Amino acid sequence: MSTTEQTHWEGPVPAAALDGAIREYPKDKLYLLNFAVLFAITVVEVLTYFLTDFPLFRGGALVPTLLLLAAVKFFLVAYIFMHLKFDKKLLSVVFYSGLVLAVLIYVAVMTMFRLWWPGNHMVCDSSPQLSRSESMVKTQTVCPVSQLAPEKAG
Amino acid sequence: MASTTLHETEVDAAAPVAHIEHDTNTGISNTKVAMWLFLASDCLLFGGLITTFLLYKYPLCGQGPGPRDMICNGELVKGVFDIPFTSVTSFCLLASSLTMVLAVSAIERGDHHRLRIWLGATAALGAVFISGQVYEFTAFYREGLGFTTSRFSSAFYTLTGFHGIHVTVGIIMLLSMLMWSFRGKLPEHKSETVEIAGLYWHFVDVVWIVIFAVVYLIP
Repeated sequence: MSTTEQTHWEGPVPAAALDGAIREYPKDKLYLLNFAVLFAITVVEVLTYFLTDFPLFRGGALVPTLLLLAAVKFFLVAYIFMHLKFDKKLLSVVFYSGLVLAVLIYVAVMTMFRLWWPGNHMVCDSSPQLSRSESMVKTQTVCPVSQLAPEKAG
Repeated sequence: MASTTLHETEVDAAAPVAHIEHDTNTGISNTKVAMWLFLASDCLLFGGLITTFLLYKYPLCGQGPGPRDMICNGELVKGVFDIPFTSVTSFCLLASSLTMVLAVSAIERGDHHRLRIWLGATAALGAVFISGQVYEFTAFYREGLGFTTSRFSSAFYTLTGFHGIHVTVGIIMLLSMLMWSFRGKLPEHKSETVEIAGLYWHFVDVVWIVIFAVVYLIP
């Protein structure tokens, strides 16, 4: 292709001319659609605070629901707004490698601190059977209202 | 060299999404790869801060209020979080991601007028978010939650404070680019500068997506 032809080139650029950096030309319409989805998910997230009687928003279902919604939002922003969908795979590998490594490391740290099960000084419960040592019993004096047994909350 | 000529000069007017101004082994500009590596490493920073917050989420008894209502030695201690208010500021930050990506799109089309509008809107939305955070911190302080009040307060202020610093740096970057644009120092062939600043801004947004869910919404 001659230099003159390149000068009069119009419209979206073929991938070959971009060294494979971008596969297709992103449209503003796609960004708006993506934002609408993000907005809707955020509304659902906020509703979890107000609609506490909804089955998915209470008890053991609440945390997985919120984490899933946050993960979907995270992915949509990274995939569309940050152009991982359009850019070379190398960038996705770099970013997601860092992300996965970070998550694994901190899951390990939280496991070390026994955050996943009751009986440590971080978890709220003043009931004796969940405390593993006397020193922990002394520190377990704070409980969120939502985690108290009904008779205690009353 | 033909490819160098393509990327450095002629391609600007008609092929606005071609960014690379130098040859690289990856086909991606070094600056862009560097920004992605920085963002990947920043995941570790915020991951550490979020983990610390989770470990210290509940203050010990007598050390001031916690995130939500608590029973302390049989007495109710009111929580400090104001979810409706934080939701509004979160919406602002989310909307700023849209305006940021529209700014990138505008400069890639060579539309400098819209570029300035969207850059200004992004900076303004970021400023609203930061103002909200300052207001929130002030309100918490008045409720007795200083930085050293409890392990919860230290972890919370450190986490959200670091995020606030990131947003502030992003606003400075946006305003700098806005100034360059008005001075004619941000032509189409430098659209990658806006795109890289956009990557940083979107990362700040995705970090807040996680913070909003994990810190504020999960009880």
